[in-house]
Amino acid sequence: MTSNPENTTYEQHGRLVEQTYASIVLTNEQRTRHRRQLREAARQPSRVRFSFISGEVAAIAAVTLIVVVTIVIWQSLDSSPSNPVRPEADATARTAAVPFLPPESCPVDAWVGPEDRLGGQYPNSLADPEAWRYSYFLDGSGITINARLGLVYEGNNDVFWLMRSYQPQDMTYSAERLDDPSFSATWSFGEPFTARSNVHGEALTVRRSTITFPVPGCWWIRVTSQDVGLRRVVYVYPNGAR
Amino acid sequence: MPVDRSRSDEIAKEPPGHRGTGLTDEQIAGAASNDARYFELLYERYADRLYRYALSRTGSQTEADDIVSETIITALERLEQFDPQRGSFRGWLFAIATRKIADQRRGHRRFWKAINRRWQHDPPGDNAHALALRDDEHRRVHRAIQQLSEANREVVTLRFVADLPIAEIARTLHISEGAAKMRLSRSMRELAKDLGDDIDV
Repeated sequence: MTSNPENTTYEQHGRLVEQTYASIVLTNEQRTRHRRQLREAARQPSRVRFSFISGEVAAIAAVTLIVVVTIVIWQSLDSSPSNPVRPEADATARTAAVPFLPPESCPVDAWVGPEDRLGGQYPNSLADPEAWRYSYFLDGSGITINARLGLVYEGNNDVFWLMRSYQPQDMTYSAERLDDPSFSATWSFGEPFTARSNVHGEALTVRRSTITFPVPGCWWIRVTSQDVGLRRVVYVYPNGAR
Repeated sequence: MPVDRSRSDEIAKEPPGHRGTGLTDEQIAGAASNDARYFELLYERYADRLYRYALSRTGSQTEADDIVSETIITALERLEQFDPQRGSFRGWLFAIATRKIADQRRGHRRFWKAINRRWQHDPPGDNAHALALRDDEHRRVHRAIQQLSEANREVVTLRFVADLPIAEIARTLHISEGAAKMRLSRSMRELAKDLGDDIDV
C-alpha cells in the first residue's frame, strides 16, 4: 500500500499529540474529590434550583404546565376507534439498559456494538429482521456470537453465530454456569447461510441458534472447532428482567 | 468454580474500575439512570481522558480539574437526556466537556477584558513545564497546540486526545462530517508547520 506523505505526517503528528498527554492522569486526591462530588450529586436526584425564577415567570410556567397536562390527559382519555393508534415504543431501539450490573465476581466479557456488521442480511423468518441490523457482538477467534441487545436472559435467547470457516462436524458447543457446572444450557440450530461481512468484506457462515439457559447467573459459553473458537463469560439475567 | 489460569490472568490485567463490568458505556449509562451509583464506573473509564482533553484545551491544571468535575456532575444530572441512538456516550460526555470549556472561556474573556482595561495585562497560563509533560518534545507539542486558534485546538484535541471519531466530532461541534474533516486537516497542517518535520514518534 502506498501512503501519501501528507497523510503520513498527519498521522505522525496526531500520534505525537496523543502521546504528549498520554502520561497525564488525575491524582488520587482529585479522584477522591470527584467521587465524593458524584456521590453527593447522586444523593440529590433533583438538583435543579428554581430560586432564580421570579414570581411572574413561575406563574407563567405553572399555567403552561397545567395546560399541557390537561391536553395530555384529554388525549389519553380519547380512545375512540377513530383515533389513530399511538405508536409503540421504538421497537428498533439499538441499545438496552442492563437491569443491573453483574456482580464483581462475574468476569463478564464485553459485547461490542451496536454495529451493522452484516449489512442487514438477517433472515426474513425473524420477527423483525431490521431490528437486528445494529446489534451486539461477542468476538472469539474466528467466531462471533451476535445478540440483538448484547444481553442474554434465563430461558430462550435468539443468537446468531458468525464463523470465518465452518466445519459442522468438528464444532462443539457448551455453556455452563461458573459456580455450578451441573447447570448447562441447551442449543437448537437453524440452517446455516452465507453472508458478506459489512466490516471486512469477507464471506461468513451465519447460523441462527436458540440458546436456553435454565437459570440466571454467570455463565461460560464455549465453542470449539479445528480452527475457530470462542470462550466467553456472559451474565444471564433473570427472565423477569426482560 | 472451574479455574482457568489464562482467564484469571486476563482478568488480572483489567484496570480496577473495569473489573467485572464488561459492559458497553451505553449499557452502564442505562443502569446508572436507574441507580446513580453505577455512574462511577463511567467516571473511572473517562476521568483521565477528560482531564487530558481539558488540559490540552485550557493549558491549566486547575481549570482542567474544574472541567472534569463539572462535566461529570452535569452528565450525571442529565443522564436521562442521553440517547444512545443519537451517538455514543463518549461523544455525549465530551460534548458536555466542550461546552463547559467554551463557557469557561467566555467567563475568562469577560474577566480579562475588565482586568486589561485597568492594567493592560495578559492573562497568565500554566506553562508546559508545570504540566509534568514527559520530555521537551511533548512540551513543544503542547505549546504548539496552545498556539492554535480555539476552533483548531478544539478539533485536534477532540480527535487525538479525546479519541473521538470524525462522526462524533461533527456531532459535538454541530457541523457536517466533511466540515469536521476539513477543519482537522487544516489544523494538522498548521500544527505541522509549527512543529516541523523533525519529530520523533
